[in-house]
Amino acid sequence: MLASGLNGITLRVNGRDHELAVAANVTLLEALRENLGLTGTKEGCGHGDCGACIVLMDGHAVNACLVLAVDASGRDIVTIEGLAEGGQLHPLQQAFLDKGAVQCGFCSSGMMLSAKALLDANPDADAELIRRELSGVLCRCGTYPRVIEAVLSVENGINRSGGEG
Amino acid sequence: MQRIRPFGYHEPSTLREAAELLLAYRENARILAGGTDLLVLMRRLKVANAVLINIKRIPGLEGVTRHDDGRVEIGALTTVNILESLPHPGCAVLRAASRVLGTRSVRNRATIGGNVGRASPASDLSSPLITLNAEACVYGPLGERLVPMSRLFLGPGRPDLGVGELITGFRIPAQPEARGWYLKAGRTCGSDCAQAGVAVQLHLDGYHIREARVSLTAVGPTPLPAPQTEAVLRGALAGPEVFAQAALVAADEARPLTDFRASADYRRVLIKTLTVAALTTAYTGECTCSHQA
Amino acid sequence: MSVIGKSITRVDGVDRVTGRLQYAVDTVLPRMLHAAVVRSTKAHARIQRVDVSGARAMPGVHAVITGQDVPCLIGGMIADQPFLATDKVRFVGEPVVAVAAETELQAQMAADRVIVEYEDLPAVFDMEEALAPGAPLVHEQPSSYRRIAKCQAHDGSNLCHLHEFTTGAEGVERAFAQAERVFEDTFAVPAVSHTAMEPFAAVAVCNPVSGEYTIWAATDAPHRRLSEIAAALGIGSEKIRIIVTAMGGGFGGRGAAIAEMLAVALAKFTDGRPVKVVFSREEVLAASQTRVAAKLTVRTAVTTDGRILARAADMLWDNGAYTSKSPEVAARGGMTVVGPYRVPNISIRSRLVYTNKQPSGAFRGFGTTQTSYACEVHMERIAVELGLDPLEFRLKNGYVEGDSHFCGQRLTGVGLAESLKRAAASVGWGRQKPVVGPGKRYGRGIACMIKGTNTPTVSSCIVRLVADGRLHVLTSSVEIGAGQKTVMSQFAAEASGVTIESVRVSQPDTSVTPFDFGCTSSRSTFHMGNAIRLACEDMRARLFVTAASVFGLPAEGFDLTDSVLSHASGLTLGLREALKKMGARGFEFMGQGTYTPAGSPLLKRDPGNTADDSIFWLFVTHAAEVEVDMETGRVRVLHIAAAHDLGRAINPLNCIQQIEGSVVMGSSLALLEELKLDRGRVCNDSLLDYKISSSEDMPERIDPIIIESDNPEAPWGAKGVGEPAAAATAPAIANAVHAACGVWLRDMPFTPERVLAAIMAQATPEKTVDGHRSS
Repeated sequence: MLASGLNGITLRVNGRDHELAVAANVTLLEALRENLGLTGTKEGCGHGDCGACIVLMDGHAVNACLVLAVDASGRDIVTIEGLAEGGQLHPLQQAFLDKGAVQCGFCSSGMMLSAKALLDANPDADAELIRRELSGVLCRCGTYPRVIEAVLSVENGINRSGGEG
Repeated sequence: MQRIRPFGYHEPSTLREAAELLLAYRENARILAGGTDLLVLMRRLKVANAVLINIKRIPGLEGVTRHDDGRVEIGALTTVNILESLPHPGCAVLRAASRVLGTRSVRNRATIGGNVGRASPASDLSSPLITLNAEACVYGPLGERLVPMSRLFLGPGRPDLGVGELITGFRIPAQPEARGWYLKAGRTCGSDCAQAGVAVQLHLDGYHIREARVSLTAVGPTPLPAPQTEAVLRGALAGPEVFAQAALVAADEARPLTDFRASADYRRVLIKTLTVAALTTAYTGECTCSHQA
Repeated sequence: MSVIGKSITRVDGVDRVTGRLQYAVDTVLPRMLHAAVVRSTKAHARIQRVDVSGARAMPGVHAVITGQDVPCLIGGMIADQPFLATDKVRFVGEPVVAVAAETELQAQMAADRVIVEYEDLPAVFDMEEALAPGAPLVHEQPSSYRRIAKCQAHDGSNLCHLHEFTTGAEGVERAFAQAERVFEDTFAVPAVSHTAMEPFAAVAVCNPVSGEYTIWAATDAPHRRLSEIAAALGIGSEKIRIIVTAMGGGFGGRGAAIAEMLAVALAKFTDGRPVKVVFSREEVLAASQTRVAAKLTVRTAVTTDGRILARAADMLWDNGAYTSKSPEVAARGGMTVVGPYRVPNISIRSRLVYTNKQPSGAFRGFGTTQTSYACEVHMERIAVELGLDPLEFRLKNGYVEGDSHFCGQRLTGVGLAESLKRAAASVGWGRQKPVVGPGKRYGRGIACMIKGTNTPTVSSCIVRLVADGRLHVLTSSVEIGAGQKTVMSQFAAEASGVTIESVRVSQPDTSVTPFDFGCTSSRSTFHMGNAIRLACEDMRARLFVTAASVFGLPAEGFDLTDSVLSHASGLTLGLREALKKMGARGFEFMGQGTYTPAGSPLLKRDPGNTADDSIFWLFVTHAAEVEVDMETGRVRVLHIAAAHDLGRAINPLNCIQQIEGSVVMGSSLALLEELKLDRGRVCNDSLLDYKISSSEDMPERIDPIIIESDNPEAPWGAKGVGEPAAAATAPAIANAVHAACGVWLRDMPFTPERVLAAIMAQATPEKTVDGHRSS
């Protein structure tokens, strides 16, 4: 069917449709970073081991380095750039700042999007579940305890309003 | 960062088209399902000259069907996260394995067909399917056939599939009064490929084990059925004594190799510990927390 | 309102959580090309033939270069590393050919077509074999390399650097001869990867007319990198400019021109087009730099009541094929093997050895993750065998305020005893062991450490108070992810008297921001903090002089606090309003500050003493609770209490991040990490197989404990926190494992397989190979 050349795809990213022509070997991660300039999604390994490239696809956390752009066509993608709305930080973003869950920040987008997927599916996740569900995002700064605290604080509504901490 | 080199790419819309492409491209043809393994191999240049046959446009390969008589059918493209909450009562062993396969984001993409079809000795789903007496549904140029999971693997990376054949799904017979569990050990508490894994399925008659199925992961050239271990359990009174005895036999029955992930000796130690723990959990009931040795 | 001691939210936090921060990997420039590198597949081989014709013919290719094109050697201490291998390769992964093309994919596909033919040479991987007579030489003539004075060349040997120190050979010998007890242990610490989540990346452009280079890079010390690159290229430092990007972690790994070197090499051949180099994760793990692997033999003479009489250490450090900062790690880092203890007689020999492996270099802790492990497990064994409480034994010998360090410096601000006591208390030291499940054993362990900072070094800073009331801080202090910009903002606000919201801290740019020695050695807070303080005082003095003449009041009475200018006479004016009245449009008040501890009275030491002193000393104790699975050998870390004497916490939340993060890294190093080699090839070159701690692997509970102490030269009392952190975790865990099940762990990491082997060996003592023990 499509043996070579470019494939026309439609990526719905952060609520906006983008028509792209990509080769089959282009990953969703490359399409986001290079075609759309959304560099908030990071590449840490290219093997799905580190989680820095995690985005939401139809609400599920996926490693964008392991998804071909052609397979993401027509799907609903959310990246870190789409988390804040109306000039307001998302409660998770605010909580990550307030609780010190961000250090170098390279894993932060993968961490926050994983946390969003978890909370959307499981608003009352306890610390153990958070620890397990976020274990696909590696953080060499070792910010995990802060991340867990930040996610729990969002659950408890402390940061629901995006207020100051 | 290493880029995936260009490859041939096809999106067949029917099984017949897929089989024709497999026939046409032979050893270079690769089925693209979840891609969580294949794309890594390609990026790491361990697979070259590949022609990818993306089967996600073929209808009917996704999802779980439960029949009234207790049989379950699982489409090859069903992602692992779906299996984590499989409602079928006798399938705890598959649920348990699904929960410890990779990370959350990998489970959201990886498929049961891909995990099994890759024929890795460390496949987390194959041993559970073996203990469930599952059959792989295979489609090919000559039509459809069913292959028992216990006979699907010829060696590492070598499923018993003819040219042009692909796995379309799995059939699990009814599992009345059965209890199972899967445990694996990795180098970390987080996700890892198994250093060793044990799947068990006990068919109980009161306190008696009427029938037992055991299969071992990452301790042989293929996911390894463990008939001698099963023989120890079969007909025995369930309990710590026979579990310990079975564990010794399982450790003996394993055929592990030494590599940088673990020594053969240590894999045997793990098999012993995991077998006791898996049997105990299977017998005493499902546990959602401890997934480690 | 003072901002010191407040957990101010990251000043660049919003950019960090919205994905807007531009890291080195995100750098995009007009007409930018992308690089790929062909790397050696051999550990030691002569290059017979390089055929790049296939690569040159590929679409999109602009340059394909070999070592002949860039005959340059780089190295801050010993310049022994070629940008690209010339006559021979010395490790698997060494760059041989570099390609620049329109896209990264095109560059890689061209690189795929390069043919390199090798003639194998005998290789050395083991340090002892490398030192044996007749061993194959990694470098034929080390004396031919440019080097700093303290690194003597050893031609005809694989000895890269030798460092010896003694308080007096005779005294040491006598102490060992007369001691009631002598203990000896040998420890092995493997090479590990820094594994910063952002891979190495750099962009370089060379102006074809002027020959000037501009480099965008994630580096921890831009001014030092600049000198190293200039020296390697043989050009003046004025021809190089380094602009620092945001960076995804460092941990010592960004202390060499790893990606920069390749980008610079290519940039000369692309007609002025910028070239971007991004390492793959495989390249990061197998072909950049590692922590120095080490084999450490430690001997101690003690009295039966636990007084230390002498310490001797003989240490081998694995340099790998090329030299980065490892001579300094082996020398200065190696000295910390004495630990934070009063020891009257000391003898240390550190040998750094060339091998055919990936180069090693600085790693968070600068030698202390190796030495503290050896020292503290050894100390524990002495205590146990003497029948002493390990905590009491450490307190008995540990430094207290006013003690003399063996370098002769009088110690000021010693929080060691408090750190020991509070960490111990947190894990319930001395209390009954809790009950654990069947087949499991429980144990508590403790370990402490000392770390100084590279002394003396220099930090400079410029502040500009501009008309709108903002204070711009021009500093080359690198924001490596630890919150440096936030802490510098706090210092600047406090010292200048503007609100913290008015402070802007620059990105380092060597053509704009003044010299700083680097974000290394836990030195930024202390040194740049002082430089900022001085710069702000300078600025305030100028402001008040002008204010005096404008407002007709004596200069002495002026004050600036919270961006309000006031005078003792009663004048009170918002800063912006005041500035409007004080100068014509564009008028600025600047201040500059340079800090160096050189000449500080705190550094006074015994005459004739050659050991390194330090403007501050950090003391850390970690205490661990573990559970050992006797059947599988798996160690579960239940709890780490981490007590850090950091002087004073300027930003407590940042300090907690550092402490918790270091415990996560420390336990990861202890339990998981090791680069596994097969004939010099890294087997585990992916994050699937090179394991670092995930959220599921970290200790179940971490208690960060901040210990404060007084150092009169510290800016608002702050010493540092980042580095020593990860060093005490491993020995604390090892000692807890001993307390749990009686085995001594002398090899890191403590994998289940290794722990189980130790348990089994103990159960069958006749099989034990116990060459380690002499007592």
